[in-house]
Amino acid sequence: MNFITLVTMILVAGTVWGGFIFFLTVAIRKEKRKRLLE
Amino acid sequence: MKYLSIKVGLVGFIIIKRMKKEEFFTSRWGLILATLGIAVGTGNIWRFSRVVAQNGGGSFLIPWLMFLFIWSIPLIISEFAIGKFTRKGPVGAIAKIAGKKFTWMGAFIAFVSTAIMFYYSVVTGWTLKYFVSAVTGELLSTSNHTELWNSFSSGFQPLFFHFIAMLIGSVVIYRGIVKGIEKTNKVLVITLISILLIILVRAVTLPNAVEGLKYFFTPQLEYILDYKVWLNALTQNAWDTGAGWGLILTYAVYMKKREDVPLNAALIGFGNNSISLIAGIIIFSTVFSLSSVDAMSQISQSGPANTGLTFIYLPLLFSNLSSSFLVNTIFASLFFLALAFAAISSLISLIELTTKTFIDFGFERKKATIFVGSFGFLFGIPSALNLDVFANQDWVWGVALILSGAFIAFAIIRFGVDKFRIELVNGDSSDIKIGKWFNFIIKYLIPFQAIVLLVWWLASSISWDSEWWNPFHIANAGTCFFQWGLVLVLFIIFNKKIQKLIFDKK
Repeated sequence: MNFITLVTMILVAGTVWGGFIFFLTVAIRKEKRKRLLE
Repeated sequence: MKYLSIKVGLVGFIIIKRMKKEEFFTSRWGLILATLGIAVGTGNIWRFSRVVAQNGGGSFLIPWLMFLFIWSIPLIISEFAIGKFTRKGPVGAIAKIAGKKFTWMGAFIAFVSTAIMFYYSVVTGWTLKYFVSAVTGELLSTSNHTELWNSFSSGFQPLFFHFIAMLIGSVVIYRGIVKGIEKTNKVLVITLISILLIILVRAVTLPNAVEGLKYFFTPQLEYILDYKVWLNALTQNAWDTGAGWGLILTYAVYMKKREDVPLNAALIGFGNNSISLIAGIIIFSTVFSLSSVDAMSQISQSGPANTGLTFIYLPLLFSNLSSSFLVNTIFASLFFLALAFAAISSLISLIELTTKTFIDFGFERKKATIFVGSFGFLFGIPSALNLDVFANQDWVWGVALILSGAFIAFAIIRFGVDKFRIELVNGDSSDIKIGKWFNFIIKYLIPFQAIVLLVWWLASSISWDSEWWNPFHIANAGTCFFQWGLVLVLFIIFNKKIQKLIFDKK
C-alpha cells in the first residue's frame, strides 16, 4: 500500500470509527455520572 | 433569553403531560439502537459500495466524509430537537416550528416517507427471500443467478414476501415503543453489527483482499476534481443516513425530557457511516479476492432495480468462498440475514412515521397500525409486481427526500436558528453544546446543498431521457414534477383541514 492510500485510510476510517468510539465513550461516561447522581 | 427558556420549558412540560399515555424509550441505548436501525439500511450495504466504485474509490470517501458534517449530522440534530420539543409526527411538528400556514410542508415530508414505505417493504421482502434461499441451499446450488433473480422478480413471490415484510413491521409497531420498536431494534441492530464484524474478519483475510482495500482507500486526483463525485457523495449522505426524512424526528417524540440531543445525533451519524465503511470493506475485499473477471466492472453495475451486485454477483462469489458448501452457505446466510435485518429495522421506522401521523390525527395506536399496515401492503403491490413502477417510485420519492431535508431547514429558519440552537438543541439536558457553526449550516449550507442537488438530479435526467418532460416515463424530471406537484397542490389546498385534524381534535 502506498503512502497516499495509508493516509486516506487513516483519515477516513480514523475519523469515522474514531468519531464513533469517541462519542460512545463520552455517552457512557455521561450515563455513568447521571446514574451516580441519581 | 431567560423568559424564552422558561416559556420553552413550560410548553415542553404541558406537551409531556398530554403525552402521559404515550411511551418513552427506556434508556439512551434503546433510543440510539432504534435510531441506528433507521439509519442503517440496504443503502449502506448495496448502494454505498456501488457508488464508491463508480466514483473512484478513495476519491469518493473524502467528500462523503465532509458531507457527514455539513448535511447529515446537522439535520439529525435538528430532527432530534424538533421531535423532542413538539412531541408530534412530521405534520404537527413542522406546523409548530414553522407556523401553521406551513403544515403542508410537514404533510409532504410525511407523505414522501410513506410513499417510500410502500416500495421499501418490497425491497425488505427481496432480502427475506434471499435469506430463505441461502439457508435452504437453493441460492448456492444454482449456477445461473440472473435466471434465479428473473424468475423470482417476474412472478408472484415478491408479493408474498412484501406481505410478510409488512406484517413483521406492523406487528412490531402494534406492540408499541418499548415492547415493539426498542426491543426489536436492540436484537436487530446488535445482531446486524455482530454479523458484519464476523464477515469483515473473513473478508479481509481472503487471498488478494488487500487489492480491494487499496482501491477502496486510494484517492485519484481526476475524480476528486470532478463535481459529480461530490454531488454523488452528498446524495449518498442524504439518502443513507436517514437525515431529513422525518424518521428520526418521529422516534425523538419518544425521548425522555432529560435525554440529550447533540451527543445522540453525533453517535447516529458516525455510527451509520462506520457501518457503511465496514460493508464497503467487506464487498471490495470479497469481490477483488474472488472475482475471476474485472472486479471493478462488477461492483459498479447498477444491477436489477439498482440493487447492484447483491442478488446476482454476491451469491456467485459466496459459492466460491471455500471448497466447503456448508461454510459458503453459512456465510451467504449470515450476509443476507444482516441485509434483511438492516431492511426490517428501517421499514419499522417508516411504518412508525405513518402510524404516528394517524395517531396525531386522533387514531388509537393499534387501530392506526392495522390501517397503515393494510394500505401499506395494498399500495406496495404495484411495485412488488412491476419493476418499472418500483423504479419510478424509487426515483420520484428518493429525489423528493432532498426537498424534505430543505423543508426541515426552512422550518428552523422560520423558528429562528439561534433560538432553536440555544433552547431546543443546547437545552439543560444536552451533554455537549453546539456552537454557532450550526446556524451557518442550517441557514445557508443546507438550503444551498438542497438546491444544487435538486437541480443536478433533475437536469441530469435530460441527458438520459429526451422526453424529460413526459410525466409517464420511469425516471425523469417530468414524472417528479407531476407527482410532487399533485401532492403539494392537494396539501396546500387542504392546509387548514390538516391543521384542524392535528390541533383541533377533541
